[in-house]
Amino acid sequence: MTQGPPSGERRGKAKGGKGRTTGKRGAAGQKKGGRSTRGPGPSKGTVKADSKKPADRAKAAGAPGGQMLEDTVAEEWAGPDEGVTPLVEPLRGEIRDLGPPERAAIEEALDRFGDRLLEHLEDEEWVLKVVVRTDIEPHRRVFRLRRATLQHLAPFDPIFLGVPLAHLARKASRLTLEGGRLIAPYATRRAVMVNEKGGQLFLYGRHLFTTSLVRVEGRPEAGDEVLVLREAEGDDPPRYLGLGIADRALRPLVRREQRGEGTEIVIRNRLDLGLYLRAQQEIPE
Amino acid sequence: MKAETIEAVEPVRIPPGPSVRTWSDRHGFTPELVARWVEFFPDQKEMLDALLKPVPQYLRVNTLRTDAETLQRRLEKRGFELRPVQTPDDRLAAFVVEKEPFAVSSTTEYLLGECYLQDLASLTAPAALTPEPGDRILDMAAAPGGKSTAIAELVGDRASILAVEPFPARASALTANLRRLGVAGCAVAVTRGEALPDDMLFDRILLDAPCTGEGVLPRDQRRRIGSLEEHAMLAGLQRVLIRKAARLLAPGGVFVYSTCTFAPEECESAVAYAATLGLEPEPLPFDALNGVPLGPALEVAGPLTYGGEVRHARRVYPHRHSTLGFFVARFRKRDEEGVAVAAATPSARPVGVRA
Repeated sequence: MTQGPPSGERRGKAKGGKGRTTGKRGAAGQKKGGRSTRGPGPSKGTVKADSKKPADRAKAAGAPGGQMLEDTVAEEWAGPDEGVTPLVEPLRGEIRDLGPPERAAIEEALDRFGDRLLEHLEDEEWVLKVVVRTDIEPHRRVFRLRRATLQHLAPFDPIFLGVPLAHLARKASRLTLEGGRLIAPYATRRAVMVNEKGGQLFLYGRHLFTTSLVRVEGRPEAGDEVLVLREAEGDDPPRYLGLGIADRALRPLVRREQRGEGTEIVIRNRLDLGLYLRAQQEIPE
Repeated sequence: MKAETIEAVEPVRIPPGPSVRTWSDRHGFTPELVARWVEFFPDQKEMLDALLKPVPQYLRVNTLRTDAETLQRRLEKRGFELRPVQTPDDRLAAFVVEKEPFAVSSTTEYLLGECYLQDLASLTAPAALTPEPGDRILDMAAAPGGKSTAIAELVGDRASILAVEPFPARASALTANLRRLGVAGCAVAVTRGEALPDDMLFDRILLDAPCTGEGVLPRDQRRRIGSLEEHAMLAGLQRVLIRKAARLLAPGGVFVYSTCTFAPEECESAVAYAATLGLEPEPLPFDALNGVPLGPALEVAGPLTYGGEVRHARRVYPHRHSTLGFFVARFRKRDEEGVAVAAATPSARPVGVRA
């Protein structure tokens, strides 16, 4: 089958029509005198690099070698004779099973919050997989996804697949923001319940004061990672807000029935759900 | 994999008259754009007026995290006033925000992923796809993820969605939204849609195509100064993506094409082009938005005329539907055409060569 004719029959020549026009100086990435004069650009597929620093913008866009993204777009959409090449090399994620050390690391990370939590995350329907990205520093993340999704989509080398559970590192594996959310319903240790005001401030990236604490599960030590939840309210159950690090000031509170009056910082903010909006690029791990 | 050549599509040029120039100068529009709208659309005055006014803000409920009643109760407790609106598919729930004491995006509910700010018109695309649990679904231009996450909601997060985005920075926004809304059945591939490997088939494909975004003008006034060259290039890119979609769609599968622009080269012309690739136009599963019937596709746009292939496609207008402008069309791949489509090759004409 051959390509069909251009759609829409022309009744006559358009006034002012000059034939095919898009070229190196046309389209979304117009160039003039070596500088991009790009306007608002297409409604999808453009990058709003807010930073005024060229290096930041190039980095934000992932342009290779610090090249300005807009220039890349202009050159590649302009299309040399051999055709248009992808904007950048596709980012690839290598998907594989968890190795024994990686599984042990994940179990160790989860056991801090309760017993046998891994059993809640893997079953006949759900599976854990490692996705390795090589476009940035060696980067391994454990994802939880349905087996059907894995079967259907793994051949496309996605960089993101399902729900990220943890970030694997040499020294210690750390839960992702979503990892904390996945285990929060089953956690029996290292969880703190906060009031509404404290919870709201936590979502804005602030640390938690003594006055914000409502309850502490388990006995977190200084430096321990803890789940932060907002207390139940009416019909609403406790809601997960993020991950914090217990401060030394938390310990005496745990000893004296888990309540305090002062404004000392007891939980330092590590990751909170507000990062979904605050983080300009990747959400930190 | 080398991507296909993009062949520019000649845009319709309508010389702006004095009154168009006056209006354009007063409001900061490119006269050539305004002249086209005046030529193409019958209720031009209402349409131009609507482009200068903001449209209501709509809030989609993330039913993977909560339900409409609970979200409304929680937000109204914070001083918001929400009015439920009819969505194009009953499996989706949305509100129009009538009173907003502070930005809804800074509420706990928003950060917890219980809702998503999304114009009602853009829900027509995932609704037109009619996804079912277990489907293999491709979203070819997915960032920032509003439609991918809506598809996940439609199937209760029980489908496999491949969300494709070529720009790394926009892919980050896409993954952030997938994470916030808690979608588990989605993967993100950072590549150009036309560069996807050909050895997989999808049951449903959504191409919410990169476009000139004229329909977004009530919200993004920067688009007042677009150029017709942009139309030419993007219409060419849309055809490349449509060709790819035709190859990746399983026989009998559903393809939905949508844009947020008024430009017929990117709307009706794209539909007519898709119909030449073995994609059979089908009626949409809904016929109104905000209680107002959807607008028909254009049959004539300046020198362009269209046939029966566009009769099922629909337009959404700011001045009629109180939403952003939108265009949506649905197709089904004919079984017997599948092999022929896969063998189709693009024109060798590179972009930038003048006829």
